[in-house]
Amino acid sequence: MLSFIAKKILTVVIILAIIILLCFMLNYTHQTDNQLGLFHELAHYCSTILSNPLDLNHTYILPDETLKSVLLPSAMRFFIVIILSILIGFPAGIYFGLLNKPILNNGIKVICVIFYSCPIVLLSLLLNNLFHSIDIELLNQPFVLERYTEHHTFSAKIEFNVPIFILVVLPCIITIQTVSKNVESVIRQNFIKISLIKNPSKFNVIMKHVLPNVIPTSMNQLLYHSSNLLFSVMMVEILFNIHGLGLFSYAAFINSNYSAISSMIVMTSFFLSFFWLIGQCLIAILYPFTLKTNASY
Amino acid sequence: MRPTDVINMTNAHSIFTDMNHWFRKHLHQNLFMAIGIYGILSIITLYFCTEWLFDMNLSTISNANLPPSWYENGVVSHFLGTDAKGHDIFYILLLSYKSTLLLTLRTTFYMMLIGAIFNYFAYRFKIIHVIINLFLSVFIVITPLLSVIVLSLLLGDNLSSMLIAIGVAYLPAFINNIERSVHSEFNKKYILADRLDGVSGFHLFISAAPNLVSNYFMQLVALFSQILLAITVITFFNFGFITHHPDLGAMMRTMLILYSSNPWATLSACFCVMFTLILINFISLGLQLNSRQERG
Repeated sequence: MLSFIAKKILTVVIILAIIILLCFMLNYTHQTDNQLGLFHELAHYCSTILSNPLDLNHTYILPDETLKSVLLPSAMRFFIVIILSILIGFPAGIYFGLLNKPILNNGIKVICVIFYSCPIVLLSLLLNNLFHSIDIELLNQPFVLERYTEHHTFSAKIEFNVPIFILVVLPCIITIQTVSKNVESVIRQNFIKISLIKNPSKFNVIMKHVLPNVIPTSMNQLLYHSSNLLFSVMMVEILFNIHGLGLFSYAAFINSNYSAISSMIVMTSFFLSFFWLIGQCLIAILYPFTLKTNASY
Repeated sequence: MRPTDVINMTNAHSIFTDMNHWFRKHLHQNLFMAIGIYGILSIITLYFCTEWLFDMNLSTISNANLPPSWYENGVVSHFLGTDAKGHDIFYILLLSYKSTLLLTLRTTFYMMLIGAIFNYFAYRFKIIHVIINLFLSVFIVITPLLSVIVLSLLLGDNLSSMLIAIGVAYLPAFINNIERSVHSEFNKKYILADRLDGVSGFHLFISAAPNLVSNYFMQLVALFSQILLAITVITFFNFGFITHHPDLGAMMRTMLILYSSNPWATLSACFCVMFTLILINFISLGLQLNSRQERG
């Protein structure tokens, strides 16, 4: 297990090194005042990034903002969505996977497909029609920096409930689909049939044999969607004019601020890499028998 | 009539019977498949016949801000009404829909090719497998939004690079899922038996291919859906500087000004995306049901 974790840590370090190098190249090619040589600039950039990756003062986009204050709200939304999708998606996926009623099962799949196919914009407009809580005029204003300073004017209800609801829909459906598919394939295996014959309690068989085979595989597949989830979080932040990574990156994009963008890339990469690493290590610690399977991917 | 003609007629009859049987068994007995296939066929027909069916001339200017035809002041000739410049919204919708579909199909096709090449090399050579995994991991940790921003700032008004950035963001999950399904299929006993018989790798792949097709199509549908949603949302926020390109996301953005007087201008673009995804996902669901029925 230790070698598996060490291998994963090494992978993350290599990935981060590549990303820091790419970001440095992006930053260096668009800097006008390159006084030092290439290697000295690289050393300086790396030391700045590694000493304080959450310091944004060198980006000059929002002098009073630190990246910590930009990252934390988005990270909070990201984790809330993940926790909610695990809490809703896993039990629902297991239940639907075990459900042996084709009509009900197909009905649930159709509902999942309908929600999955909804663009974020449509969901926002429908919620606006339902609750009249979102100001649609916001979406028409092109100057994000002006909007960026106005985020305090919106009620806490809009800042929290509606975006979280929109964000939870897609990961929840992906979790339900992945888990139910894995449950369906696991319960067809011969060892489950034998254990059902040996052990009359269905609950015990599910807890002892089905779940340990389903959870690691599903978690592994779901970890690949973490980047897309952060992308959705950023998009919803721009859409609802909420303080966070999305609005900050939009502001950086409009101002063509390469240093801010490169800092954003480094920071999101750190965040996602550590999330991925922690996820992989948790799977390895909780279900050590899956190490052999995971090692090949 | 010569005997060969009789044989040809019999063959033609048997082919027709087989096709009829296939349609009955796989298409018409499966509601999802039937809705999905016929829906997609109608979209394809609409795609190729729009220029014959409708006179999509956006240079024609009518009264500005007309409501949809079923509203009180609506005009029958402008089904969804007109925008602030007097252009017909229905024609804008058709043009944007065609363009978005083409962009999504192009991106999915590129990603399918790249995915196939990566999967092939990863399967054949173990060292390349490690390098490819590392390469894909770099793309996993950069969110699609940031990669699109970087590319649009570096390369300017370059649509292809933006599409590649979106596609590449979804490529790792696609490649991983395909790899998993191939891995689990190649671990089955019939492949092991073939291997012991000394069957070559190519023939092993040929024998496993029918079992992999449905899963491959499902993954392709998931990739297509994710790319379509991403393109729509990215063009909605005007990332990538593709301002002159008609697109459903851009249409949603421009039509939001009319939302209070004509909500269908925005909603129609959203529903186009939604119905396309529902239809294509229905085919995927149908395939899933068919493969489950075949397994018993």
